[in-house]
Amino acid sequence: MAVMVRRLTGELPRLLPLPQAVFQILVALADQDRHGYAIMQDVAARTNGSLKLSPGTLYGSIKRMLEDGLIVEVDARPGPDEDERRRYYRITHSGRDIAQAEADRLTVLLRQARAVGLTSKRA
Amino acid sequence: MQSETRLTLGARLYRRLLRLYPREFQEEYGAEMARLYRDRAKDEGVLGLWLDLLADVVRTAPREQLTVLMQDIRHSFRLFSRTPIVTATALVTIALGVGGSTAVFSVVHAVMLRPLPYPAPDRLVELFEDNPRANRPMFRVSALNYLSWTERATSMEALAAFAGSAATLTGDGEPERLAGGTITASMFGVLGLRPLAGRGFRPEDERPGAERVALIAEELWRRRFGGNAEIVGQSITLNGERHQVIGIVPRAFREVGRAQIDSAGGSPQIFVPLSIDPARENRGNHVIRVVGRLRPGVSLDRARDEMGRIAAAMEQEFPATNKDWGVRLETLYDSMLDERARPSLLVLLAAVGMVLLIACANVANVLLARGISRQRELALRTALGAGRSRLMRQLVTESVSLAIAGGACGLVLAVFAVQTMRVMLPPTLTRIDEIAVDATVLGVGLCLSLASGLLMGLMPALRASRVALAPSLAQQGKGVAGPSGTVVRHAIVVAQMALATMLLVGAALLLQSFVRLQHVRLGFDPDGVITARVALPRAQYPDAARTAGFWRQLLESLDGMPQIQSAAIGMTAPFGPGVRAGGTARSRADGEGIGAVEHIVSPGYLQALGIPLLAGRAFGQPDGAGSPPVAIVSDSVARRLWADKSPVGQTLDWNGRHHEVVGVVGDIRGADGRGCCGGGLDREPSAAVYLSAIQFPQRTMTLLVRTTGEPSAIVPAIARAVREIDPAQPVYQVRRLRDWLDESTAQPRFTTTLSGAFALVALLLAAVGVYGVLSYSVSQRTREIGIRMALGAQQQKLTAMFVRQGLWLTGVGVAIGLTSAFLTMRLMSSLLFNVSPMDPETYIIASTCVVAIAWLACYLPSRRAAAVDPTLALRSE
Repeated sequence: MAVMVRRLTGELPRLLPLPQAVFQILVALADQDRHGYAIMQDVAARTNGSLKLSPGTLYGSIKRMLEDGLIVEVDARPGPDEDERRRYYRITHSGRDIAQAEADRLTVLLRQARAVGLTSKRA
Repeated sequence: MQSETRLTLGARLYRRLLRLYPREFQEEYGAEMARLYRDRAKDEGVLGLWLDLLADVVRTAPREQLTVLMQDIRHSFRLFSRTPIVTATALVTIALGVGGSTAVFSVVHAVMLRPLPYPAPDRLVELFEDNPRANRPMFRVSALNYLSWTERATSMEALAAFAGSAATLTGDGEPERLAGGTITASMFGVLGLRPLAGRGFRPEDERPGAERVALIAEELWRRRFGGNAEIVGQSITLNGERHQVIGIVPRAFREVGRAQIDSAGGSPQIFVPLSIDPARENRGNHVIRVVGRLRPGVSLDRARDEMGRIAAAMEQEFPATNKDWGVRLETLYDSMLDERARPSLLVLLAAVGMVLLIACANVANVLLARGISRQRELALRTALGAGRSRLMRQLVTESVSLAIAGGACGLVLAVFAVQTMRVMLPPTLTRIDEIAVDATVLGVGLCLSLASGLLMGLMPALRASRVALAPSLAQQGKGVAGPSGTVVRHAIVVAQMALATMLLVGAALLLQSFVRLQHVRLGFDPDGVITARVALPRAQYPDAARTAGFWRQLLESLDGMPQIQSAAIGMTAPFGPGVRAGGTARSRADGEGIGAVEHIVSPGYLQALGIPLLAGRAFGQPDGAGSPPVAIVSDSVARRLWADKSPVGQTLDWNGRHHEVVGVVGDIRGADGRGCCGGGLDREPSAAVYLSAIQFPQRTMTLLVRTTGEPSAIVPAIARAVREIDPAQPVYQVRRLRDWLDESTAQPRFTTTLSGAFALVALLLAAVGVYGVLSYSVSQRTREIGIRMALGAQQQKLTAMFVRQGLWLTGVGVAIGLTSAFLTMRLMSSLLFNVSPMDPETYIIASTCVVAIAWLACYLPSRRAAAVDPTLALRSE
């Protein structure tokens, strides 16, 4: 099945390919709003601890992603137990679009690699 | 509880660490990051966490800083492109300042700062003989004294001697006259160098009668022998004799013998062994130069003490030749550098530094004015949350970007300036060919640009960032300077005027000195004379008769040419290259001796140079080879030896030999000298003794030809005349006598031209500065002018009011400048000739110039004030 590479508009195409940290943050925010530490933990859990976002990388990326409009800061808290003082981030439409575009891009790459036998059995 | 304290402490420490990030970033995310620290600290080990955090800060803080910097730089360039004329003026101003400073620094770096290219160069010294009573400071050394020193000096690891000795290379290709040197075998050890190929000289090479060997310089090896190492072991013909090439010496060797006898500024290409035959040497004959390497741990002072004791002992031992002669030691670094070059370069460095300061002040003033008119923009940014430090950072980045851009233009300017300066510099200056804009010089230029950016940006940034939010926004973008802003701008103008005045006084003093130098009485007439040198090889001209024969034939052939007024030969032409032997003249064998320069000349020498004959006669046919030796003395010798009677007919004791004095001639300048050429114009004429070239024929002579037309036109005829007698002899160093003279003033000309140029640029920049301040003042006071005019003020009075304001600032600046000049110009006195560093006329002229230019710069904007239409001015408010 051919993968449709999503058409991006405006400034977004120049952001591709996404840095790994940015992609992982978008993935972490795809299903729910999270604060910084929660993003870090989610990324670590999903990658089995192989990618650990450091604070400088995390907030440096968040700063740029806010400027590029990929995420926004939200006042509403996902649950009643959540810490009021923490800052929560939510993925935007643009963020979702670009994350999907990046995922498509990676899929194409993976398929090409697989076609010539460049992947291991697990991949 | 304890763990909570630890957590708080750790978080606080981490917040400190976060200061490495840009302030905005810190304010935005600092608290979050500290919270994240606390979360992680609960789950992770302290050591691992901190290692991780430190690595993170090191990795990401520079990136965040760079992001902000790039933003600010982009913002700066957008801003600058909106005011292209102001920006271009600022760029040119900085380029002039940085370019000039970098160019002068490149000269200072090559000539003065770079260490000599030898191992442990601080242990290398040059030894001179020194006879203050005979006015022979730092004189060359007698070969026998050198031999005595090598036996006696214990503070020296080794001594080596050298002398200039040009050679004619014949064989494949054109005969070529090459600068060269004779060196002792010990030279390699003293300098700590090895030949590039082959071997150096050995003591046995120095022995009289040893097989003839030669070393060639790397430069000649590459140029003439194509860099082929097989030349080592082959023979070449030097001065008509076969010499075996035994080695190739590295470039560093050229320092030996630079500015040497006969090299006339070229670096030596050929080296042959210096052999000293004690049986044939005269201890009073000072012809060689001596370098030595101090033993490790021996100080220069200790070596000076020891050599002083040795010299005193030798005075007792050899009173006839060594009386009053001492030894002087200088580091090789000091002795290689012309003593006049150092103060001259330092003065230029100071001057160009002042130009840079004035340039910075100008740009600072522009930035101040712009900062004031940008108050509204800055206030807006403050209102939007930018802190003062953020604004400061933005403003300083702007000025530094401007300075770096201007500095880059300046560096391009410096590359061209350096090329021009190399041509202007005296060719005898050490390491002149190494002057270049290299990495060090570029680094210094970059640092200068950076420093200029900070210097000119910090004050405006401090002021502009101190915006009072409410009033600025209320001003609708007009901006006001406020009293303290005006004070700063005025202080800058005063400082500029003071610096410009100092520079102008300095340049005017140098100019006066140079003009006086040009009008000094030479004692001869240099115009219309061409000089050329011919060196006859010993092999073909082994004896006096054959040598004298060549010269007689040549002079006869030249005398027959209609366009030649007179032709002569002499050991040297004044200010030209050649051996300048010295000696001691006495009226009787036991009388007091005076030091004098020896000229061996043909009969027509006085006539060719136009030296006046004061008494007696010139040399002539009676003074033949067989007749008793005769001499002509210069006026100063005559007056000191025979004060109360006529010297003509008296017997002169010259270096222990008796001569009958047949004439007295006027003193001439340029007859003495340490370097390859004659002394400077500023040196008093030296006492001179003239001997007849017929009685004492020399192989290497300077030909002096006075012509009726343009001197250079006769050159082919001279070359033809030489070729007709001996086709193997090249005629070299063919130049007008005037050129040698000009070359001897290259140093003061260089200093004067450059300092003059710097002073003019400084004056121009200072004028632009005062113009800018007044223009701004007029534009800020339009409303006040309008009111004054509406109340009946006359246009002339308004113009005068502004001119007065500008001139008042100028006056204060000039007063400070004159006082500073008065206090500092004495430092320059060694560069001045016949002008006092306090010369009142110069001070008056310089300050008048500054005031006149400032008046013009004030008048133009002031007239605009008078042209204000009161109704428009009031309505616009």
